[in-house]
Amino acid sequence: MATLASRREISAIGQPPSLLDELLRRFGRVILIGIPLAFLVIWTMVPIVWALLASLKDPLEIYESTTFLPRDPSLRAYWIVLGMDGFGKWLFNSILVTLVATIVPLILSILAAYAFAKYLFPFRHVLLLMYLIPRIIPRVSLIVPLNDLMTDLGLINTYWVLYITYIASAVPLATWILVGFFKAVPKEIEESATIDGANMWNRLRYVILPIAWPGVVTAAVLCIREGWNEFAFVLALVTETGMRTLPYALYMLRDSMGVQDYAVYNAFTILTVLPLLVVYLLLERRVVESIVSGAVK
Amino acid sequence: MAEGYVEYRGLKKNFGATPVLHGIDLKIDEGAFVVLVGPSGCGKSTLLRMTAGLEGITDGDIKIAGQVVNRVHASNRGIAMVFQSYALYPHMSVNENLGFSLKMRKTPLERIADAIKGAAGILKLSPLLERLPAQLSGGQRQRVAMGRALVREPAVFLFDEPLSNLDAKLRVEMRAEIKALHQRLETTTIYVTHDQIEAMTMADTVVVMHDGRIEQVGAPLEIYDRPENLFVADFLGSPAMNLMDGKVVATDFPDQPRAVEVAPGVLLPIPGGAEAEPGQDVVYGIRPEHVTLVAADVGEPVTMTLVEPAGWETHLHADLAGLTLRILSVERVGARPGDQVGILIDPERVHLFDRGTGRRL
Amino acid sequence: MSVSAASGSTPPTTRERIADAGTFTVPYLLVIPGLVFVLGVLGYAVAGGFWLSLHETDMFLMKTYVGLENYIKVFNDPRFQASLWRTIVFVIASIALGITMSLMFALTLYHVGFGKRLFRGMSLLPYFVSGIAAAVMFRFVFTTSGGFVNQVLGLLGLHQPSWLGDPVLAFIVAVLANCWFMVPFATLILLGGLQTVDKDIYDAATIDGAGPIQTFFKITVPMIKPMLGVSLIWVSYISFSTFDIILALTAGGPQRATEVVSMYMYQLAFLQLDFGQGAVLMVVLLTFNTVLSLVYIYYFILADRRHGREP
Repeated sequence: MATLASRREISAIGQPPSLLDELLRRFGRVILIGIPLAFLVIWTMVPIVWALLASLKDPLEIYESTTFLPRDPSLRAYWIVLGMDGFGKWLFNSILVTLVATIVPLILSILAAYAFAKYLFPFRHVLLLMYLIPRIIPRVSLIVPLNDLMTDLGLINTYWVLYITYIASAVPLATWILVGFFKAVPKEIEESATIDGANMWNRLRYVILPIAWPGVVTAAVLCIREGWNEFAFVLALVTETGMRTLPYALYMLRDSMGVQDYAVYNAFTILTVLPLLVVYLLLERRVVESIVSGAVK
Repeated sequence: MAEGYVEYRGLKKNFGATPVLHGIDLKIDEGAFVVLVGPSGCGKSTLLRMTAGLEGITDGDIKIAGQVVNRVHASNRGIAMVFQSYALYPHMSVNENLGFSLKMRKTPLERIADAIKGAAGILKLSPLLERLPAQLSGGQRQRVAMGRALVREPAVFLFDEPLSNLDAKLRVEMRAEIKALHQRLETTTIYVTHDQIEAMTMADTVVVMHDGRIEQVGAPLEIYDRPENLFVADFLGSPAMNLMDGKVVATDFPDQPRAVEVAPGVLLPIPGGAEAEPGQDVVYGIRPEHVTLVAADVGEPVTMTLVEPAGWETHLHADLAGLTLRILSVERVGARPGDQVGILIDPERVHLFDRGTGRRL
Repeated sequence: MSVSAASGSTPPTTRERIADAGTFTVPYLLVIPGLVFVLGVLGYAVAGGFWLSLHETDMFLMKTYVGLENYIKVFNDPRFQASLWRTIVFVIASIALGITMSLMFALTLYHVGFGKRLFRGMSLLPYFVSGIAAAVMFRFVFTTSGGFVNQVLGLLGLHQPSWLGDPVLAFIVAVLANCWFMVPFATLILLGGLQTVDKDIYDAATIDGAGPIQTFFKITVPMIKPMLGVSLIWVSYISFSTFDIILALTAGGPQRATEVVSMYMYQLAFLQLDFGQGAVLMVVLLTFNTVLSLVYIYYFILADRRHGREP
């Protein structure tokens, strides 16, 4: 009977580690984590913070080479932006379009996702594919045919054209997210509700949605984001100044508005970004969790 | 006394400000199968991980084969570990899993192949070598985890609750396999579990731990027959030992000068050699299997409250003047709840503990 | 899942029949509306795009069928070829830089001991900044005199180049801006992957003697392969069709250094009003994404099947 344990490892019991190893062990963690972490923070925040600082500076100060911080910070630029002719209209446009582009897709997606998650009906795989494949299409590429199509339909420069295109773009993503969350609701709870006499609408309202709430929030936030930040469609389908949304207005600020006051330029940027950031920060936890758990792809 | 193969000296461990181990001293002989057993949170897993080198040491020493290994890296300590969750590399085949550690040490390929063949042969893994962990059953994964440890030919095997994830039947099978392996290889083994049955059946030496301290060390039956303190008495044995508060009194009986009064008027016998003085507050312990059922007028009168026939034995609960007594009988019992029966207790089977300190008397 | 269970032994009554029929159609009723939008708008647009690419459009928007003439024109156009080449370089650079950064950030966020939520939330911020705004911010960070980067370089005593004026540097800035926007999302996906790994495996690797680098490449990376795949595909999609950022950052300049396919498409269709050729570029963009998806499906899903794993 040969024993496998030949005690070979006794001689392999090594010497205690060297001084360098000790140092690395003590401080390694701090260095290895701390430096990339600092880099992460700087990399993420510099562009935003820089624009913020620039918006508080005197216009000529921006060209000076030696100052990071504003010498005499003032909100002057912001007042100018807020008082700008059309700013209110653009803000209103953005809000309106975003609201429609969030609420309608959510409704459509909730209904569709519920069907896909809970019903076993013929062709459901194919139909689901038809919902999800459009995610492959780059939005930008569609501006050519859409412009042509919408011109023919006479919808250029209307709210409707933005509604339609935004809704169509948002539904695939929202459906994908919601199907995942709806499927995760345990079957037994729904069956129990059915026995209690709940019909489909009741089940949706009292069982599925409350439990899958994080998914709805995530889908909503992402729809809001798409609606608020979208640019290419507006560029292609809207030409009137009064119909612009904020990103488009920001873009045009450089050229057609002839703005030389760079503090104002930056203030405008910050103001376009701020509302969405606030929404994000309020709901940040849900969104981050969802992405990390793989529900959003 | 030969120097222990694994030795803990004054070992302490704090997590942050919280002390988890309060000074462990233990010597483990070469080739022994030692089981660390205790309730969750007693520190047994921490102790094991410190032995492996996965946790740091706050104070004290760990010696393996005579060398202090406090600062030695986990891969150099001559240990191999089997985890509760097996921790197999899911993207590698069984073959690759087994050979990984040797590959890390840059062992020549033929040696690796031989070692894998040897381990696979012992554990009956040879037909499974090309599979992925996901394609294996629980028991098979368990064996791959052991094989991975085997291949390294370590000086010490460490097991961290390896059977907790298996169903009951498989658990019994694997217990026997692990024990057989140990008999074949005679490698020093430290095995952590919360299951006292595993401890009792597998160990050469049992170490009962509680709250970061060692409560008692000894062979399984030794500890079972002579628990040194209340905790050990209560922990080992299923159903648990009956423990009742009482007071030592002097009696008139010539052959039993002292007894313990557990309830007004109820006197129970104590072993002759117990160091207990009348007036002392004690805890009276008697195991359920050492309580004999007799006719109501022969022994101490009790009333049956619960009868649970389990096939090979019968679990009973009886009411003794307001106290509940657990009784285990290997014979079928005809009694029913409400019946009056009598119990007899063999004095030499009684355990007495000082109520204040919990120590055996 | 019909609420009205069939009674079984007796033939269904008319009432039951209607109820069953109703239940049968319910899922379709739920699904159709959304599909109408999606296929109606996007599907129609894609089809329209193909159709446009086969026609020539004149000033009055009259269309004449020209077959593959537009395609021939485009593929022989050196400006297009240059833009395609640039796009490929842009994508590769974005992937290389982006995935590396995401991995690094994901590892960092995984190991950070405090303020986990704060850092994770913060790291996703750039994703919520519009492409235009991001471009504007980057323009000011990289302004030749007074921009953040050049001020820092000045403090270090280094040369302060004209970032947005130099073709190569401008391209680099574009890649950086693109990464800034994309990396957060990929980071979180990878972080999710890291979290699925059983911690005991790292312990086992430590005991097996694997150093940190070996552990990373031989254990961590293979185990997060699916997430790496998703990140890779996503980064490629986004990078290939990057438009907003580049338009606002450099408008394709200087000297077309950043003119990628999407930019040239815009130029052709909206500035030169040649919808036909513009549509061809649309087809190019679409084809790229489609091919990429097929590659993804093949490599990750079918490859998993080969190993006996369910996707």
